Amino acid sequence: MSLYADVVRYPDLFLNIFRRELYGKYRGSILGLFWTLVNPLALMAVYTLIFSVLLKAFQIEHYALFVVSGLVSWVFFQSALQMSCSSLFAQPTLVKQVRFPRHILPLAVVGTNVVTLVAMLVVVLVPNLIVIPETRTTFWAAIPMLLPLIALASGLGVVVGYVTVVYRDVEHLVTTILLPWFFVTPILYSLDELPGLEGNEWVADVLYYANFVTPIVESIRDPLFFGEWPAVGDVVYSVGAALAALALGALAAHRFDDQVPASL
Amino acid sequence: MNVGTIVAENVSRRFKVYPQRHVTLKEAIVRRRQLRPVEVWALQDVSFQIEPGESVGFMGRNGSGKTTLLRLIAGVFRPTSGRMAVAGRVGSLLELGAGFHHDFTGRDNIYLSASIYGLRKQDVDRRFDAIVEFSELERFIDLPVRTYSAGMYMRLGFSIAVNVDADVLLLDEVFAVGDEAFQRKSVNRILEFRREGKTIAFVSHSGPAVERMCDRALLLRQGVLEYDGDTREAIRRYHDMLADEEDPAERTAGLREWGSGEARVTDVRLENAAGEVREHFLPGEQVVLRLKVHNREAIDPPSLAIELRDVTGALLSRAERDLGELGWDRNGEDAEVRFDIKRLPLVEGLFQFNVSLTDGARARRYHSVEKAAEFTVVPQGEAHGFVLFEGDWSLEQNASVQAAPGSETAQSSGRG
Repeated sequence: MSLYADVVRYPDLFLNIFRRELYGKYRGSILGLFWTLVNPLALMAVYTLIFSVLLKAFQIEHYALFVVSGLVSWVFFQSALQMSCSSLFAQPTLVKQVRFPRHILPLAVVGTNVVTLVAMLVVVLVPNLIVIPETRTTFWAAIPMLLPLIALASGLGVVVGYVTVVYRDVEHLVTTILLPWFFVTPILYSLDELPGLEGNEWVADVLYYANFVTPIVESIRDPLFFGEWPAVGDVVYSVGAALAALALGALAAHRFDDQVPASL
Repeated sequence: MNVGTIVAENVSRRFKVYPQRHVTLKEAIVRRRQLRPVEVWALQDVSFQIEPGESVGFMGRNGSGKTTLLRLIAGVFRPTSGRMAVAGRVGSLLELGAGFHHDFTGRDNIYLSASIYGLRKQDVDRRFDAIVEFSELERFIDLPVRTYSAGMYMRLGFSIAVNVDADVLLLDEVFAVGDEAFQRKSVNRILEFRREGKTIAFVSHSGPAVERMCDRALLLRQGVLEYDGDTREAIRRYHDMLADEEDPAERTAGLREWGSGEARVTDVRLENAAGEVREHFLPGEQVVLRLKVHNREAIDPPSLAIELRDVTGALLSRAERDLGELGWDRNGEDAEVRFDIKRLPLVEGLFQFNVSLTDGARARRYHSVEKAAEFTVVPQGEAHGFVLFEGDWSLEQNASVQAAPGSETAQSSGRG
């Protein structure tokens, strides 16, 4: 697990690579950051239009804010994971010629996504605080809950970054998995309000706990949108999932690090 | 272990090579059994120790394991078995500008690149001016490197690599980059490194380059260390190895020839003064190049050109003669041409002759043959470099003129 500590052990290396990746993501402009925010906001608009206004599928108050409060976490997770895939693969000369802690590369990619995450959070927070008074006392509890989310993305980011070098199709696989994964994660809907599950409420529990992203999304959305404190069970589960992901990342790095220069 | 020491103890490195270029996860799961990788040992049981301040050449054919060995020294990967230990920071001139971001300015890339080599910001701050000054990019340092020419890019990469305070420097024969002035500067910087007592690991195919740079050389053959010792001996063995390994069948298979074909060069032989066919010669020895020319039809006297090239294909010299001047008969056939080199002006290395036959006006190419003949020059005595460099010495002093007794042969390295 010590590989994650390299971020602070080699701060200059991390910051320089982080800056480089950040530049790649935002093309060096504030407008670049703006564009990465447009995507989730556009998604929010279209989901609200279809599911709430046109289909009248959900009876959730402030549906647009509900959706975007969940999208914050999901968009970060998805983008971090997708971008991590090519983090090592796209740097053949660097990886083949110079010895340096290579796992910094996926971690820096996740880091650039944290920038978007924080910006998104600010964008969501303002209307939530105005429209939903209950969130004014609880909103801050979302901040510590970002840690398990970031840790989860970091661990899995290292995994996909390394595995992509050895198996070239992982990037496609990740993209393929992420879309259905998004729909089984309760972001557009709430697992509490699924008419189809009447009489089979245990299915909701399975959907909830089998998908390790759900408790994290929920424990961020609770204080951010519902004005409730994160549930203890969710917090414990989130931290557990995050630690497991970090351990998996460490394992992948240990297993594949030596193969990386030879495979590129 | 002193800083700058490199120790390899029974180092072996295995690579798994899959039949197809890339393996996909799908195949790994679905066709588990068919995907047996072939195991290739790039290095086997290699042991050596390099002391601080030594300059060591790594020689061998392509695929002999030189690059793998250098990457092990760089720490890019680890040996499969055995131990590789390097004390101190390793700097590499093998890939200049690795990790640069094209949209970053030269300044930002200096910090980026140096941090990848393991320098902290304050270390870079201290060296920054020296790096910029060496690269001669003062005016461009705040422009994005994508606006740089290839030469400027290399210069920046080189300047960073030689300024990261490396204790061990890895380089190959193309380390000198940029224009001629900068190349000279690069070479001087490397020589300065040697004087400072840094360890240098130099990979090269070129005997003279290794000889100029290194006191000791390691010769690798198919992943095995064949020889470790005196550079000249290593070069001699390397040339022998090249000559041995290229069997005659391979030589004709690799023969490249083209042309319209009215006349052809059918046979090329190298002989010594006694008329024996040979492939090895000594510096200054008499060499006779014999060619047979077969003409399919009656043609006007053609022109025959002979090019002397080194092992890399670089042109060293060229001789051309109109065969009409040698008495070509339009109605004759199967001529034999003899080119007599009184004293072979080469010192050592692997060389080749390319021959080409054109019409008298040189407008039509009848036949060209690459590598029509290859030969090795085996060094003898105190010869150095590529070219046999001979002259008569004399000395004049005061009013009374005295010719220096006798004349001497001096041989020295030709390329500066």
